[in-house]
Amino acid sequence: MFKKKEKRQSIASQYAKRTKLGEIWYRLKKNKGAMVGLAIVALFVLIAIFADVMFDYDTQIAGYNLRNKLIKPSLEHPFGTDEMGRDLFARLLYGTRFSMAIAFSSVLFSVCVGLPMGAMCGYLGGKFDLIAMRLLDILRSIPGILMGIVIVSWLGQSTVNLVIAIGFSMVAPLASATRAAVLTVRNTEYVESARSIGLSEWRIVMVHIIPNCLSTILVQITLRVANAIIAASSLSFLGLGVPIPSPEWGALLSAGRAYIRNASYLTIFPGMAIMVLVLSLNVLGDGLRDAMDPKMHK
Amino acid sequence: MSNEKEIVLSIKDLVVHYEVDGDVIKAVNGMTIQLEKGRTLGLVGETGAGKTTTALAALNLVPDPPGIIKNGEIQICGKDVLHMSQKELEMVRGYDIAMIFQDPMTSLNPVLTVGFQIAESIRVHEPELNSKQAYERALDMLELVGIDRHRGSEYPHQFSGGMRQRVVIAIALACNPHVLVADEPTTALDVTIQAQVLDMMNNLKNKFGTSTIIITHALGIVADICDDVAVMYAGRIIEQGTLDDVFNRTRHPYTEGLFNSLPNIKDRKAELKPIPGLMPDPANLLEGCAFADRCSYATDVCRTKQPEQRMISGTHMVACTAYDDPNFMIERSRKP
Amino acid sequence: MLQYIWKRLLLLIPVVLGVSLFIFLAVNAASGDFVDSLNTDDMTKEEIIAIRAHYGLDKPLLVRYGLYMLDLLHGNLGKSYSTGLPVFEMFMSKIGNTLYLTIGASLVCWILAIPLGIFAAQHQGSILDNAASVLGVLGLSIPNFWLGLVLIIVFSQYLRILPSGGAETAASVILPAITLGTGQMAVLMRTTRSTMVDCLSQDYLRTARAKGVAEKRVINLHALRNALIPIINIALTQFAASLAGAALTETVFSWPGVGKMIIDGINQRDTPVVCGSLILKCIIISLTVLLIDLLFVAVDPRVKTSFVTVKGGKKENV
Repeated sequence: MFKKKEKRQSIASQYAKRTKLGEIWYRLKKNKGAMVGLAIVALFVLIAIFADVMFDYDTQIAGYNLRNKLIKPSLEHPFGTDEMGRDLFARLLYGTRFSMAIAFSSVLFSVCVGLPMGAMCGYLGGKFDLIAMRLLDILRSIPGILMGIVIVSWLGQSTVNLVIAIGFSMVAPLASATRAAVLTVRNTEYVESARSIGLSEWRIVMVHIIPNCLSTILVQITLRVANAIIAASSLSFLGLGVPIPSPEWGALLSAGRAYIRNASYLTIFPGMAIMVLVLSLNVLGDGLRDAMDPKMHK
Repeated sequence: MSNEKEIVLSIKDLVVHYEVDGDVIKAVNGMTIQLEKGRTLGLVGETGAGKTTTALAALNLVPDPPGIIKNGEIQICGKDVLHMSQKELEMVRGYDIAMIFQDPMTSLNPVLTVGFQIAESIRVHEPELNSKQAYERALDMLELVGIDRHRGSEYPHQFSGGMRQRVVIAIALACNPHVLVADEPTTALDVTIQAQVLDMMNNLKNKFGTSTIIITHALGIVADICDDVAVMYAGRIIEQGTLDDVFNRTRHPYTEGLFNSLPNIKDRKAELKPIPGLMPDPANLLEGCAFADRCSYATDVCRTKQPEQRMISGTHMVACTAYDDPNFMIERSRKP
Repeated sequence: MLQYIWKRLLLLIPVVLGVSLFIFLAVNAASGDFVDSLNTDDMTKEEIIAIRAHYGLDKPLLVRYGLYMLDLLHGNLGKSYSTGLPVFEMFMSKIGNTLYLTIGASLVCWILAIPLGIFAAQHQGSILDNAASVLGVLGLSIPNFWLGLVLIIVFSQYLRILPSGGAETAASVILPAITLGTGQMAVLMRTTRSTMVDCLSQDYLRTARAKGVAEKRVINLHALRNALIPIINIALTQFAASLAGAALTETVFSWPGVGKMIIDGINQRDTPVVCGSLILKCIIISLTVLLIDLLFVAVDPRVKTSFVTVKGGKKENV
């Protein structure tokens, strides 16, 4: 009798060893694509952080050297130079800062606004939900890019305003997703049982509801960052993003467009950078979603 | 006694494995069973015993990845189901043999009317009927299962669980099949509805003379409507016989355990006697008798030798090594 | 049922009001208006004030909004500062181009993406499925306008077989349509695949097979009819969204649609054009979304019947 009990306990502890986070990481590791994506994203983040150290802003990024105007890609300038004689490779790498910073800040903005809003809507329901949903409906009627355009044209062109514009356009979808996640969890039986054993509402929210929404939110965040990067470069491309001479990728594309005939490399490389980063984020986001989905677990 | 038993469904030495992510799950391990015409067989066992897999195999519906029928011969009215072409199979399904599944909520297509779903079965097997005639037949079936024929144009979600199951039964019986396989037909229903549906099934069975296999884990249902019983454990039949044989002259320790675990309404104070342990993991089956670990009569021989099937009367079979000793008796048999 | 339509239409009104107010305030509160973009060096202060008054730019913001909305009801959205033409007319003349482009792109997208997604779902794990998944993620990640530029470089410059802009020839729509459609295609294909995979694992397919229904019919009738409902819903919603996103593509290809008109208007600070076009565009998109919703209420039996039978209790939307 004793032997059987011991055996059963050790099996149980084997499974309990990996915490939920550890479980997710373990599953994510198995997805090769997602790991590659993670590595690339990490690389870009590092570049963004150390860009200032690698390049001297005034001479390489913002300055000009007209003697070096429009040189095609070569050993000395791997991506060529632009119309002001600046090395495109350097500008591109430095531009990582802008893209990453803008993307992360705008997502942070939309999370700070959208998350509590969505959570409260889902959890409290009632009048609050009704009014807030109407507001969200209004926001949602203005599709993303147009929203960004409206806000930037209102607030004026600057990096901060760009962050606000992009962040604002993401509030509605994020709030909706959070609200849906909260609603799903709120009605589950384990919340009901938590209430029935007398846990305070606050504790229920913190311990049960938020962690279960966290997986949805995390996946949303990863994918939204990817969207934000595209949004930022789109708006910069339209001339509504970061002010020149900042080497944000979209701005690089916009500038390069004028020289598309004889210096097409000016448009190819920045776009590729955007694509690689966004692709990595998307693959990572997909991998995260799969890793967190309990149905995938054997 | 005339031995002219007409066998409508014959399963011999069926072995079905599921290969999932490198593990081999041995769901059915050498199962042999026969269904006589006009009789109702109850296939009893706990969850994971391999009952549903057996039923699916009878229609050759075991999902091909990951399930593989490794061995076996299944004959329906003499036709070998496991070696038919797809077209032949489609003709047999629904016509010679029909199946009712466990969950009425998900068994019906939500975007097609119930009338259409019943009529579809008729149209597939009786193409000489035009669509109007088939639809009328479908509505007739609906009435037969106790649903107003005007509801044929409604959708599954407009029906309650019990009524949906009746629709499922109507679909199964629409072409008057020789064999009906019912996989836990009332498990998902309320107890009161259960009784109604079982009653209805019984009447229809008598009316059409359909030979039926009822898969269940509830002994009460078996006692109610079955003529024969087969008890399944870890993918094998371990005891089989008429209702009388198995219920009143129980032989296998597992069957005994099943009966013992039923609460005794007359003795409220008695302790519940569950069977200790759990059913073995079908991915890790051991050499000998699969029940050995949980059996209070088990000996060392049991753990190494696969029990043989032994006929202890003309109709009663037991697969238990303990009966090698002719004087062996389980406790239940010892009671006066 | 009619009640529901009525209710939705009524709900649309506050949304339209809210959207228009938001856009109006945003566009008109912008620091620096039309007058500032003119060359005012030679003018006196009085002349500047007079110009402002002429254009009504001196009244308080909310009053201007009120007047604006009243005019809107009469179909009067003001006149463009740069061309002097009525905004409404300008919008109407260009909306056709935008619709042409968007519908074209969507059609191509649907014809390619949906069958591919269905095929991938039926052959999960196959080489084609994996290739399709890769293409899907790629299409999703390519910035729309960059794709346009690349296409211009390849097809207009090097190969010289397609025009790089404008809408003169019939072939002019090809590159913009591909650009607009690619992102949509990627999303639609992935969604189609996952919806179909879901449907393929449903129990009712097993019931159909057990009836003896031929496999082809099991897929084409039983599975598809369920899968197509959400798939078409998404496809149409994408179409509505692309009406907005077309702005970028139109800019890259100088396609004379309303999106380009709005962007040009912003750069020229032509407030009436920007404001009016944005509001009209948003109204059109809202109406389209509403139509799609209504279409699905009519098509999906599960939703349809909840209006026909009296079930006591309102329809809950999560």
